[in-house]
Amino acid sequence: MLGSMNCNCTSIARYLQRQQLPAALLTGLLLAGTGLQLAVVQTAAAAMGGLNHGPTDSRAVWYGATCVGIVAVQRCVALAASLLVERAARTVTAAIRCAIVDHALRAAVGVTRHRSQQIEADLAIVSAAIAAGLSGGAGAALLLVGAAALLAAIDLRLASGVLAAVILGSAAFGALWRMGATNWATAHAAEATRDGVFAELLLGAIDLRSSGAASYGERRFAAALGAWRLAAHAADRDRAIARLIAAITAIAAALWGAAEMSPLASGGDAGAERAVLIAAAIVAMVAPLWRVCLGLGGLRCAAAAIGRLDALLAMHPSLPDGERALPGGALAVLCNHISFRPKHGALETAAALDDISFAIAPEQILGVLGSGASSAAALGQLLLRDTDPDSGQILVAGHDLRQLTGQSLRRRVGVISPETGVFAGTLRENLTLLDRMIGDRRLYGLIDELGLGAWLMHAAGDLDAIIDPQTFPPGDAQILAIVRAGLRDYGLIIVDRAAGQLDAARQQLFDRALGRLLDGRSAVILADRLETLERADQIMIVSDGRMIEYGARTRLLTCAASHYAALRRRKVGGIVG
Amino acid sequence: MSAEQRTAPIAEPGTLWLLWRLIWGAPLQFVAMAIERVALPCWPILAGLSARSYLDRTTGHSLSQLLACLLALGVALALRSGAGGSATRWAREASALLQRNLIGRSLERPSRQLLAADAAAIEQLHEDLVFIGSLGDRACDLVGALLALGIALVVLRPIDAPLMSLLVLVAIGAAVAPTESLGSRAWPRAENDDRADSIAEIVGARRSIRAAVAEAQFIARVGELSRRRDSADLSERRRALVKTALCVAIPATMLGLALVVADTAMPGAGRSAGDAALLAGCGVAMVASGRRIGASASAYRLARAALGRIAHFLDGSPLDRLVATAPAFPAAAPQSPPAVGQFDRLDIRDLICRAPEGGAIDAIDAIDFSLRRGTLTVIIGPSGSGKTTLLRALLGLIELDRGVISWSATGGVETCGALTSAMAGYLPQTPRLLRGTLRENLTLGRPIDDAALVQALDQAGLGGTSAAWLNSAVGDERWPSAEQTVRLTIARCLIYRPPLIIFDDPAQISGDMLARAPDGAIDGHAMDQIIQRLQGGGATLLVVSQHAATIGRADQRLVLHDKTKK
Repeated sequence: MLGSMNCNCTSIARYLQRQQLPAALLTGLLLAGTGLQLAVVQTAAAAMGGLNHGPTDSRAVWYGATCVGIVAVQRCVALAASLLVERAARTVTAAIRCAIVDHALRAAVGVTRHRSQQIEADLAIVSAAIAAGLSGGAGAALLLVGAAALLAAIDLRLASGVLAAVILGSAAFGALWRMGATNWATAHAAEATRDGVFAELLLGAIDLRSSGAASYGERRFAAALGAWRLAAHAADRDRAIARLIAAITAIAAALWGAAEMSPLASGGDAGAERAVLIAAAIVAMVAPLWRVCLGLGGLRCAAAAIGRLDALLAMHPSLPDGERALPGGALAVLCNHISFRPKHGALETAAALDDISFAIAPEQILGVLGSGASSAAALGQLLLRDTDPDSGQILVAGHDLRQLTGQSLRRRVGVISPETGVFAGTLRENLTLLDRMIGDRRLYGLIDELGLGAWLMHAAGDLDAIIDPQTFPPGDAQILAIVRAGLRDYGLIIVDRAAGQLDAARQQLFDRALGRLLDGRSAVILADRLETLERADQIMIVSDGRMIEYGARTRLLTCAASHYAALRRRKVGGIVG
Repeated sequence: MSAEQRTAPIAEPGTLWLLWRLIWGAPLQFVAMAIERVALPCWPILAGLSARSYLDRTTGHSLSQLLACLLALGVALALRSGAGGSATRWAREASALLQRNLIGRSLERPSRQLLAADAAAIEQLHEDLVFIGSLGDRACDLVGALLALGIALVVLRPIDAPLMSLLVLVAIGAAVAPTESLGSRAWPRAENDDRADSIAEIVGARRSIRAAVAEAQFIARVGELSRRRDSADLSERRRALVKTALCVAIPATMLGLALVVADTAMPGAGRSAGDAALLAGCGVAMVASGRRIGASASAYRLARAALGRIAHFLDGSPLDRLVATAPAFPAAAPQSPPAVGQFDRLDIRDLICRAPEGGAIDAIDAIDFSLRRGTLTVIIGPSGSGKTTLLRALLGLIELDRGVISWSATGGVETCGALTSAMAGYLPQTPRLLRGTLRENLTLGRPIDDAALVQALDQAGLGGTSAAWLNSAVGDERWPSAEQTVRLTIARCLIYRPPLIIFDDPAQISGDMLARAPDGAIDGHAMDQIIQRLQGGGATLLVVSQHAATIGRADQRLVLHDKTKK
């Protein structure tokens, strides 16, 4: 565990290294703070010596005033240092955040909302740990060294006492860290399970109740509670030892101080000064050890959080990249006998695609109708290379998808789906995906060209209006996706479930804008409405994974046996079965 | 839903009363912790006292007082380390108790809010419970701080009244200074959520932003966004710092200087060096106590908000049961299906369910219908017309305002408040599975053999399942998919061959888009196939559907318009 913590710390240090200037500034501030703290001790000791002569001694007064002044300055320096440290911690977490987003984009790491909350919680822990480690840990270490040096000049015995405490303390901490690691991890896992069961049972209360199994739910929670309690008791022992060490150090330090001070009873100037120095030595000795012992849980949390983040960043993409890049212009697609069976754990699923072949010439549009959502969805996944087919190959512009670089594929093949994500930011940022090279003229030109000027006014009012992802209508997000796609250099666009979340008014807007967008581009429309297919050049109908019809749309319409023509004649409420 | 929206007003004594109940659950810990909390803030006073006795040498045993002070400090610190453990244990047990009672309450009768709850609402609830669990600890803190403040005042009173009142002012300043925001380094929860959302949106929407041409640039902007929020956060904290400086640091420094000046300018004031030391010690104790009192006050405010949210979650019902330390759970109920006789028909008369404020459910008004054995009844209506509410009302998940449900079977007619699980199998709109094996999810602790499970799975369209798969664990990343979840839930409600089968329409699962499986929910066609198969087997079905083929095959259609049946 200690080893893993060291290795984790190096990954944090990697991000910290990039900030030399704040680091230099921080070192200066910490050194100044330590110096001031030591000065406080000395002036306080001097003031004590003065006071010993009686309250009228002017020396004591001046030393006292200086002491108060230095304390004020030292607090200011400490505040500045803590702000700087927090800034540094935030820069590090921002860098980690970027690394995670980058990684997720490249490596297809699935990040659900729950998981991203976990990531954020981890980042907060790491940030707090960095802040505490830099200002608390480094400050305490400097103070210890300084106090030891100061004491060594006055009294070698006191200094050696402090030094011994440091060595003992770090040894105790190391032992403690190794000893309780397993218990701590078990207790945390058990607590997570308990909370998981809690959420699960509350959300599943309807299911359980309607199945007449309410008592099963209660027993399940009782079991989780029992397991957690056992694990927590084991971890308590670990924590109790840490607290015991802290308590022993406190009492030992008090006894040592008392022993040191007993010869002072005879009094004298030096006696009072000495008393203050001894007190300072005790504080310098006990405080860091105390902090470490009581903050052990927090340190463990931080180590675990860093471990989780590292594990996330160490995930490798499931699909290896190729080396070729796609050419410009509209792209041709050729599917050769692809078969695909979605994999969902243990349960066998039916084939979503079974020996499907088709070809799309550049600037042609293929409309796909599937009975059951899975066939069309699977085709979309395969064309975007979210996954590879079990057999057969997909050629885009003559290249197998497996030979293409991910970046090239992402640049040239786009998707418009009902699950369009928007993020908190301005509408402009959402449309341009934070690309500042896209100017207003191009943006407004495109919006006008797509006939979305009125929509823009209605949806946001202004390009610089802030979008709230919680309240932004999914229908508008779907239209937003069209503008996004228009700003990119796509040669092939996959339109996934075009009707999606649109109401009648938005449907019209969407259809018109989509028509203008697809002009001069190749496209695959995975449709759930017949109207969307009106613009398709070719139609393919897939039933239970098998292609049952494929041909030019105009030809199918005139063919009496065509399913498509029959469906179009029936037009059952716009729902395709 | 934001935290404010979920907050409902709660009676003033609510928090205090609940706190008392929690403390009553652990009186011993409370006493131990209260002692510790008094000892710790008092040590500067002890230090001041011993410094005075040493400096002034008024008594002959100054040294013994000094030693006593040091030892008291050591013991207080030691006690603190011991009591800290019991505090965590106490908080832990308190929140576990709250969790357990909440689950018991929800399984007995789900609240209307729970019916509409999503994972985020549960998360918030969980956090509120944990926070309330830690309140006992904070109460001890408050008691300790108040006592320390009192002791300091008593010690100081004979020495210097004007300076003492200045100290009181500083302590009050410390109490009103924003201690919480300075004390905890963790980001406030709302901020955290915000950031988490932005990552989730960006990453979860990987498909829609795969387009970002300049990926490096895009990543840089993400960092910028993150920093922009950080700096807003930081300026907030800077304001807090300034406020603290104004309330505490400056008055405290002034006080220190005033002490020194008073000693210089008025040597004849009768105050000795020892008095000054004692004043300093008491000042430290009073400021520390002030900060603790301030922290307790803000904790109380947070607790009230949390309790309000919990009460709202429980439909405003009293929170008595939440803190009850009654025996864990009632003994397990008999696990076999009670006999209900051969089902003949179901009559619903004048069913009324009014929508409560807050709009978690839709209202239904005066619904009458009957269904006979072996028929398919389809409920149709626009969203918001109360289709789901009707089904929930029939199953007793929502309390009825009025209405009669008559169940006619061979044994006679039974008028019941709601259909039991032996009468009807139910597929909710948002089916949920539990972590565990497939078998556990299907049986839910009931004694059912594997053959029956495989048969039910087959009926739900998961044919070809072998008994070995029943041991596979549910809850991996990609298994089961949303569609399989629906099919598994259907299998679960078919196991006991209930006389009546009720399907809500899972095709319109709403809510967290990112949490949804990438392949979407089950579609109308697949549902129709299952319904067709069950119809062929002679089952009685009551389903919500928008699928043309299902509607076309219905023996009876129940069309809900806005709040009225036609």
